[in-house]
Amino acid sequence: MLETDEEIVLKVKNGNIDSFAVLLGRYEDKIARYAQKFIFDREDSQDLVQDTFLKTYINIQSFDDSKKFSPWIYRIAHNIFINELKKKTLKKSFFLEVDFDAILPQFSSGETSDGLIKAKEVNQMLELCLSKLKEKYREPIVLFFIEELSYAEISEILQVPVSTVGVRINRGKKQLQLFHKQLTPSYE
Amino acid sequence: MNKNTSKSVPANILKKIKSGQVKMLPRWHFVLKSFLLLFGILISALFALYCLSFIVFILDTEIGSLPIRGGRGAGIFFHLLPWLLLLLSGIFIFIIQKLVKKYGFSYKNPIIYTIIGVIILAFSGSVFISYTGFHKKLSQISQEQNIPVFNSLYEHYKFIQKEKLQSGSIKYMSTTHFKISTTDSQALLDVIITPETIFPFGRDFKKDDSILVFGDREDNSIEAIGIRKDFSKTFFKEK
Repeated sequence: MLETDEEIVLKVKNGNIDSFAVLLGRYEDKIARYAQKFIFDREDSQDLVQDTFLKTYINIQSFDDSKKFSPWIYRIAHNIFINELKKKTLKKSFFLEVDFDAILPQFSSGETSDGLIKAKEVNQMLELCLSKLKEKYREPIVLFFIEELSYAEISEILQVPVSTVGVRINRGKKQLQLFHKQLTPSYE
Repeated sequence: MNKNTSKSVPANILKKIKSGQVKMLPRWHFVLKSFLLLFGILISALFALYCLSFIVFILDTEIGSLPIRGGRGAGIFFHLLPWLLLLLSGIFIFIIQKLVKKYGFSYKNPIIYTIIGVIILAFSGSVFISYTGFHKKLSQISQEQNIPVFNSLYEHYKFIQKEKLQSGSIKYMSTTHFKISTTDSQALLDVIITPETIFPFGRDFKKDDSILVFGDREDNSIEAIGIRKDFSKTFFKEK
């Protein structure tokens, strides 16, 4: 029977380095795709993927065995990517950027309300317009539609309430539709 | 991602790990980090509680007893508020909120809930501490034993009573001024009443009443901003 991520992590914690290769194999493509869709710089994203795994190994003793491994490794990747974006754009002083989505309570619809057909539409739009989206909408959209994580997992990764994840995904989708309309006027 | 780079990433990582270039941090490192986080929250909470309860203490014993009311009174009250302590309390509450954000119970809820929770806890705790007489005792002890920081801190916030508040009993009354006898002076103190003088509890005074006068003192006279009966003395006299 296939070992769970958490069982493999336990082995790594106990000093089995080869088990870390299994985790690398399972997550390399996922983290690389996440980086690619989030950073849009092939060279940089390879370095960032490497940093993510190195940091995962260095901090693996802090992983809580009672929790799921995937949100934890995505959280590490998220922190690395955000720091990279901050370095690049030289912006985002804490005092200048106030995130009201996470400050105030949000009332969002459930995560399955959109259905499969709309998810397909979103995937088409993602290919064309993802780079135009603001980071704060782009990231949950990538994690939900491309990485297929749940709202709860995305909430763990971004460390924002589940309702905020829902609001950002819905707003992101609306923006995608708008960009898609502008690019393809025949789109209804 | 092309195949070469795809293969090189895991190979590089494993090479670095096996060669000892990259090492796993020990478990105690994270235990210590969690402990320091908790310690930081506790220390910030204690400082916030100290500052806020000190504000409540000042409002209760110093500013609250002043004979000021109405628009002018509000202006004076606003001016006398311990703004530095309020700013420090705000900073500590902000630090607590930032540190608490590391915990799931905090970030899984809107930030406003955490902020409100921290503020409610800090204020209710400070009101409780203030009413235990903690600051009164600490003020006395720091004065008696001349404890450096605390002594100057409590002395600083007693400025109102020392400089602007005068108590005494009425020896002479007219519509434009009183003469009162005070404990710190042999001569009678002249209390000048202007049309702007505030009487928050009315002007129903008689000879030998104990009163509190708030205003600017110059030698042996004081221009009254507000005058009220000194209820504490009246209460004890009646008893």
